[in-house]
Amino acid sequence: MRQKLKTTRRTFLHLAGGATLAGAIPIVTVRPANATPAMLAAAIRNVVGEAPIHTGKVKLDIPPLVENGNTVPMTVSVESPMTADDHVKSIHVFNEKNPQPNIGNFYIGPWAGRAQVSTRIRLADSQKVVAIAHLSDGSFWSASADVVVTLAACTEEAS
Amino acid sequence: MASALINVPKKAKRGDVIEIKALTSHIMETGYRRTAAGDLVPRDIITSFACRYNGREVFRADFFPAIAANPYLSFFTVAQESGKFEFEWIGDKGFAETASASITVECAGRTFACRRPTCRRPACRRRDSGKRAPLRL
Amino acid sequence: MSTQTRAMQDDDTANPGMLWVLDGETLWKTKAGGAGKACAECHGDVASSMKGVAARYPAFDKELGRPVTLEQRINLERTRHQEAAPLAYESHDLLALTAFIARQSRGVAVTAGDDPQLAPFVEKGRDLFMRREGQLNLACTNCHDDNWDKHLAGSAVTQAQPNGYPEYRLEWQTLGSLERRLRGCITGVRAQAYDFGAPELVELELYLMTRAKGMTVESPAVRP
Repeated sequence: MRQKLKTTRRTFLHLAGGATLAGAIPIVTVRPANATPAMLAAAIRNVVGEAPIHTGKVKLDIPPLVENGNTVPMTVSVESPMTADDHVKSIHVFNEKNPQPNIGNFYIGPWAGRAQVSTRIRLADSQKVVAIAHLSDGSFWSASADVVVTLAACTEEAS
Repeated sequence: MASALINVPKKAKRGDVIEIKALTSHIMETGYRRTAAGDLVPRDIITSFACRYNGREVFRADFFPAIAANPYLSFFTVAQESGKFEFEWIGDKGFAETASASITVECAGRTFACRRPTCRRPACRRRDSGKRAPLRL
Repeated sequence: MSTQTRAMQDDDTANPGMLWVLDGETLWKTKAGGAGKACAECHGDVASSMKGVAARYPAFDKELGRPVTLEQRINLERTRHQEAAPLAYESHDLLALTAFIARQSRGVAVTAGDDPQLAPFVEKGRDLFMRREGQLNLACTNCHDDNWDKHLAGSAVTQAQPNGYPEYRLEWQTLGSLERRLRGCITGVRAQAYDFGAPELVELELYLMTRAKGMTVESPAVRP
């Protein structure tokens, strides 16, 4: 009983196993319109403004080929002495092809001791992930990583 | 219900950079999925997370739908004094959750290492000629 | 499975399945049912009483005269000793208790199926594993024995070992049981999946556990 919803190549049918969701609503995931590189640029500009973005200092640790796009472990670290005069104020992570360009913003300071944040993110498609660090001297530094995301082979139907 | 799993070292030396891990249970519904009938499942995510160390905010994060379900965070902070870490998650539909963990911070035993003017360690006090810099954060 | 997924599993402070284990711990101590008893009252300290249990399940139940899974055993304990209603399959509480109990067997070698009374059921399970089914006309063995080292559209096929259940599956973004996974696979070959708790699923789980003999329990595992 396979429902054909859309004819785009990237469409896939994904029905969640019922009972774990409240009310056991069967969910069909049809991939929505993807964000564009222009949205990514706009989201970055929102944070950075017109300031130049330097490459370097930031290390974005993310597997180049993810096992499952639902949960991708990611670590962003920035080389910084983390003193009162020279530290990382915030780290912003963006992506290229999810429906939304933002992933997360992390606000730290000299009290952090180390500018490193790890979390798990969702990636809808193979795309570029960009991390931008805002330093105490007002400068912005970035790093990016290309990630390949494959879709799960088997589908699951709600009972 | 255990909605959060926190990992903070129980003990640390003053000045140590410690790792804090926070894992919480939340579906992080993106708002982009649809039901079999075609209706959009409304967004239901945690939007922000904050960590306070003895009342002072040491870490804050904004979450977007791209953060995976059951969000996990690992970050660092400098162990300054014994006390409590308080964690707070805020999200859609009035979601609010808190957790806390205690830490015992011991003196590193190095002269002037903590720069604490009120350090009661006799060796530090003897050497304290009043020229200590105040504790800075 | 990748090193990152393995690292997520091995770190109890980062393994999402531990959230269910913590809930299971609370339920273990909570009084339930007409008898007003908590699991802890009869079984005591979980680490000593439940160690090794998950490694030998599904196990033979004398009264029913057939094997039961760990989930079914929990429900039988509830109905027989706690006078409580059984928990629904895949419900949060049942998954939490199963994960909590299975966690106690981490590192223990799988010995399920050793009981000679289980032999006819293991056979039935093996038949189910070997039998082609569904519109795709595939048997479990076609992929998981013959092609386990290959990939199907980017996903590793794998040997389909059951030693990490209940597991946090990244695809589900939640914890789930082996029966949920089996039903998903059976649906995947376009066959009608057996209901939760069906004897066929129990026999299949039993066979899979005997097939995994010697592997250690990894519950709650993290898998893509």
